[in-house]
Amino acid sequence: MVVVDPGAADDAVASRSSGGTPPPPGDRDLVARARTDADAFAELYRRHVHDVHAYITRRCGSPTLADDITAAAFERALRNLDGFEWRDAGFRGWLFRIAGNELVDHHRRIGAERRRDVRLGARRTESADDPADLVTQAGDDATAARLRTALARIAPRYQEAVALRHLSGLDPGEAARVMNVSKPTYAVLLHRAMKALERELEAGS
Amino acid sequence: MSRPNRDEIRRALDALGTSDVAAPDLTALDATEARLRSVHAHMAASPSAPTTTGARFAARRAIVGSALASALALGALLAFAMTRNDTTTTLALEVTAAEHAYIILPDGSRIPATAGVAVPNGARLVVDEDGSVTIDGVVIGPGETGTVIDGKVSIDDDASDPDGPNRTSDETPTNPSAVPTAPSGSDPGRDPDDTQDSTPRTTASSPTTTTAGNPTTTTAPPTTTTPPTTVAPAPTEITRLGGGTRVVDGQVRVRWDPYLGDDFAGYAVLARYDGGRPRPANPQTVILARIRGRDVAQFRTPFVAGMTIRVIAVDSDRTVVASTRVFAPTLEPRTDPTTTTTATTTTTPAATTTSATMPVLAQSTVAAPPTSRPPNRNP
Repeated sequence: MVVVDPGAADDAVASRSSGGTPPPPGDRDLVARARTDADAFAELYRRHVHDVHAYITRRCGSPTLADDITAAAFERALRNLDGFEWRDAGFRGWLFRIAGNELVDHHRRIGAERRRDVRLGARRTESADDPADLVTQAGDDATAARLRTALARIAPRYQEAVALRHLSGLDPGEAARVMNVSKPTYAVLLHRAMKALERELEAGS
Repeated sequence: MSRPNRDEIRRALDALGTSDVAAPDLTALDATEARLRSVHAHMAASPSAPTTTGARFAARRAIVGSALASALALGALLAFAMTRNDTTTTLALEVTAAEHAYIILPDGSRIPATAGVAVPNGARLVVDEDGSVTIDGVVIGPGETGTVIDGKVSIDDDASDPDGPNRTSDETPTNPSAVPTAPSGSDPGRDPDDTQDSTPRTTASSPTTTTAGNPTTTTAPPTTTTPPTTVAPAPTEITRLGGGTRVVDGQVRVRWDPYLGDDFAGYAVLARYDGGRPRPANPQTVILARIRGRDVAQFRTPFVAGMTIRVIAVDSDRTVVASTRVFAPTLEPRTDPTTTTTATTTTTPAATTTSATMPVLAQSTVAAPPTSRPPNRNP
């Protein structure tokens, strides 16, 4: 089986396009260096921060929240860099996954805090304590807002399957690799996720 | 998209995925990069991480070795404390087994949950959707969180999986600082069901306690917990239905007291096969039956080891208005609730009920229970 190495592919593309100047290092090289070299990690950060930020913004609808989630995701990636082993999905896929988990954690944390406040009799500042309702919808059109709300209500794994496919720009193969499942398994997962999303949208309509 | 179909949803998602989004704030980017450099410098200042594969394996071996040594030491210490009948010990609990989980320490920092790690009071265990943690004989299942309070683990309500309108009655405090002090042996803020709910989780015993000199202290499942008689129960908005289960000929017979409220619209029999608490909106929960008849107060389904069952009554708005406790049927005699149920059944009849169908609750399908393994509803 031929395994495509995205890091090596980066290098190859870079070497073809750069002419006389030395090609920029691929992600794989940078990851290896980033364990000991802050500049290498900073380069990885600058290379991927926009993609990760856009992915999270599309998922949550709030650029401000996306700033926080993106920063947290990169910090988590840095702290876990020693445990990172290069796989087909590459560093970018790993970042998407971490960022998605950070977002789910955020919703979970906020939801728990609000329920605790309710228990303690604190004044509620919003009308609902469902994590999905915490999704910022300012400036959204109605369809996007409904989609995000419904997406935030389905199981985290389903959220990830849908978001990786439709909101991150990854193709199904890449999304499957990010989720560390086979392509057929991912197809099943996505099918179920869409079904769950459909149900949520119906329930909300 | 009032009643969306699959294609419309896909198109809407694709449109959302290709929509323009605001670029990240450049000031925030610079600040984050500076912070990352600072974190990197801090990490470099600590003992350097091995970079070669061999060194990493060696480091892992060393970590595992030290964790094992710590576990043994902690186990010995716990056993010592237990043999001294010291009930006031406030030692941290130790993770027996863990997969895809992490611990949020009281100071807010996070560490991965691995076997042998000590979890102090106030720490939270967060389990991913495909993970689990065993600690102090309690299994925290996929997607659940647990909190260590006063040397005990309490399983929190699932924050990511709201239970619908009735969820306030099922909630467990997730912030230890918010938990009122309660006498030892009680579980403040928990639903009275929780002693039942956690029964199947107590079957895993911590191997570290077997190092004790006194073999009679090898297992100490928290089944001696007395009902919280001295703590006012959490306010409950739903009616508690009496009931119970029996396992006969490989079948679980569930019975419950009929709900007599005027707002009755139907019952739903919920089950989970991972030991967790069945909730209407939980993807791991299977709706075994929807029953419209108020007087149909029993149900039969094939027994599966580790299953938990709960019957709820709902009104016409699908709001839960009454609920039984969570039942954890076992094949063993009910006089010994701590016994691990290992037997499985090979019978394969579908769930039987004489009821008509009722309006959809949270899931849209009525699933037949599995006979040998949990349903693969959330791969």
